[in-house]
Amino acid sequence: MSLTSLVATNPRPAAVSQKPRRRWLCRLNKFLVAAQAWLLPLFLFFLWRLAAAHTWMAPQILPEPSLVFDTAVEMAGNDLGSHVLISLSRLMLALVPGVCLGLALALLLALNRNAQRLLAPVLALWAQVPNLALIPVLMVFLGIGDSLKIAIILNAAVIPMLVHAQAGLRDVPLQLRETARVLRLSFWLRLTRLYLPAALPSIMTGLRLSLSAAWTSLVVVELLASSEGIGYLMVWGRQMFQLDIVFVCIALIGALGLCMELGLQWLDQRVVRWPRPVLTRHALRTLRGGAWPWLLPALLLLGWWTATRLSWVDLHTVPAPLAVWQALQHGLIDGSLSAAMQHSLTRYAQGLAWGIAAGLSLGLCCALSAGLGRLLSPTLGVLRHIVIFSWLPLLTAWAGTGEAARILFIAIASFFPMFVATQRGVLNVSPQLLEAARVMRLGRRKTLRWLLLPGAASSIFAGLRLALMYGWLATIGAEYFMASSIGIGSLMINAQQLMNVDVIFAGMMLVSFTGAALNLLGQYLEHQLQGWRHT
Amino acid sequence: MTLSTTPTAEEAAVVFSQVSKRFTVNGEDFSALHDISLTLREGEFAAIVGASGCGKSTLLRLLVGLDREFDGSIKVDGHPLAGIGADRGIVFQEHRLFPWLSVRQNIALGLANDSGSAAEHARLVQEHIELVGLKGFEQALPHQLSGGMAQRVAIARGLVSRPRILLLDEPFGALDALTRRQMQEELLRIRSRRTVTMLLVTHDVDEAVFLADRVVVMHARPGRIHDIVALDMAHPRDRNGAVFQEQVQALVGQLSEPVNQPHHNPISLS
Repeated sequence: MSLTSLVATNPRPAAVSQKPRRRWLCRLNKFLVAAQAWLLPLFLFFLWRLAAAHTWMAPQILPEPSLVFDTAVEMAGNDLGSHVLISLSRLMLALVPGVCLGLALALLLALNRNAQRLLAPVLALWAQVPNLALIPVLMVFLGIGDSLKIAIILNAAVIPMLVHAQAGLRDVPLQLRETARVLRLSFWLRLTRLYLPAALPSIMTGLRLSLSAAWTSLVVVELLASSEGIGYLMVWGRQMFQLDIVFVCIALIGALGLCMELGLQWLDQRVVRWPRPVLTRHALRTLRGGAWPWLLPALLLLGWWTATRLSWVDLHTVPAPLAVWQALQHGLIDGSLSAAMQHSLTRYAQGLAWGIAAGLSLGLCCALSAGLGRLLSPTLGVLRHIVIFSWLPLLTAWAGTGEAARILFIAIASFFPMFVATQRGVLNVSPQLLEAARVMRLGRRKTLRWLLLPGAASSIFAGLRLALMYGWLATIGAEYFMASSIGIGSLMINAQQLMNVDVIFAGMMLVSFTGAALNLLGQYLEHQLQGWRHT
Repeated sequence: MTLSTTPTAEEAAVVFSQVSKRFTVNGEDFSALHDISLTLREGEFAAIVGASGCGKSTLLRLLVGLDREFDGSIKVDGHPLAGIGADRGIVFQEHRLFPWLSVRQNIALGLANDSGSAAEHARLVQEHIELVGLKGFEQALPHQLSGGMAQRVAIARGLVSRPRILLLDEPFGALDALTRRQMQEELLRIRSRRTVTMLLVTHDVDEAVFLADRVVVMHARPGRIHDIVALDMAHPRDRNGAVFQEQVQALVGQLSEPVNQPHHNPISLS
């Protein structure tokens, strides 16, 4: 309860005098509105039953709902719990140190200028290497045991926390920093009373994204290489063509993801009790430090070169820099790498186009039509929490391992960020401006053109950037799991089977480079169309 | 009515002599303050009025020590200014309270460099909460307070370390007219209980005449002192009284001079 409302002691008499009959109607109406969220799931469920009953699809690939339920009960009584426990313990074992490392690095960068000059370029490079592209490399180093899983999940957890905590610490309002100076607060007080609390909303966001990235990585790495855990269970079910097991696992992955998200949201609300800072201008501050930024990359390269030159490391697991360069060169000249990249990018572009078109249009429709929004968005909001890669076993069973399946998968991956961002963006357009548009009698089309789309643009472009990245990761992932085709992911995973380390490294660099280029493209688009935020 | 008073050196709390400040904006040199000489007496309430852009806030930032690059000299108690110090507190236009700290914690931050015991600090904080009339709101967070209440907390935070000079940078500029009047009276009440030199920056002539012992009129481009007016009226001052209104009109007239506004229609500036 706010204190200002304590001061104003004027009870409103209007709310009391409602007739009981009308209140009852009101409640019924509320119930009906809420019930709409269940219409789509119910429809899909009946469709499923109908399809299974009339065997529109073979029973092996579309098991009956009752069978899935029975399997779930049976698995719950059997070893499902131990598999889930193994997966969750892997998650926590990697997430906790990963998040701590990310936060520590962010603090170091924010508080020490020299550390920032020295480390920032390396960390930026690190952030550009997709976790997925690291998997074949780390498989060569670490084998396919638990250390591989921990390393992959930890790597996934560090970057989101680092990026968001750093942004939060950087954006501490100048006025409050000045106030801290006037009050002559000590370093410790500045840290605990100003920097950390001010960055807390960003840190919580970082934590949420770290958890989500770690959870996704866990599923991926368990799908790829594991002998226990929930991902393994799925692969096993798929190989035995017991899709009922796959269904149960997908549902479980979704439920666990949702629980974690809700748990963190709850924590966030408990911890951050003050109004969050509003959207600020993009910080365009860059630190130029002469030769400093080049120091650490140069040292790392030199270390790599020396280690391979003097055979400190096994050349079968760590290729020499020159060997990687030659692999890259040869691959591009003889066409093996360039053809793979071309196939991957074509596939990516097709899937991306479908995903973005669907996400944008459906997001707009759901935001503009309240009825459609109530019908669709709750279901989509729940489905969003299912790790995208856990659809793969089901997708390969249904759509085969051909090109269409890959493109569909990429489209699904880029659909969700686009859909969510578009819907939220339009719904978050300021009600005051909407009122102004109504007063000016702008009409639906003009309101859309002059208010809703520009107002939602920042959110839409943020979604686009995510869609660009997710689509690319999905391309690599789809190629890992459906490795029979030509593509950079398939090339890498096949090179890993042959222990062809220089090709793996060359592939990782190409994938990272493409990812970085896509990220820059997204930022460029966002920047170009967002002039009003830089004034 | 315009009096030029030069206090003797021993009772001077702050002496600005020939202070100038230049900025470089988009490669162009820009003179924010030009040849400012001003002496504040111990315990007096001085107000600086001027249109926006006349450098009045810049002058405060120099005195509090946030900005240390300027020409000329500023002496506090006879010593050259040495950065931010315990002897000067400041209240900004925006309250600048830390949103995650309660009223009590925010005020206690003002004592971060104070060497007293914890019990002593708690007593001081409580005393200042009561001084600004916020008893019962100790645990509230800033967003739960109204604008006037938040500004009271900021004043308490500025006063709690018992500075000898309190700088007020348009402290009531963001408040509505009624609250602003209330806060002005509140400030006089606080001042009657605490001897502290106050330097107020404002663009509200009415506020300056209501509060100050002396009013410094500044003109813009470059920021310079146009006149210093002593107000010998007893408190509480009657805003509707003839003397008060005459004083306000005269000051508004002085502020309007450089743009050659007719003297009989000077209301637009206040």
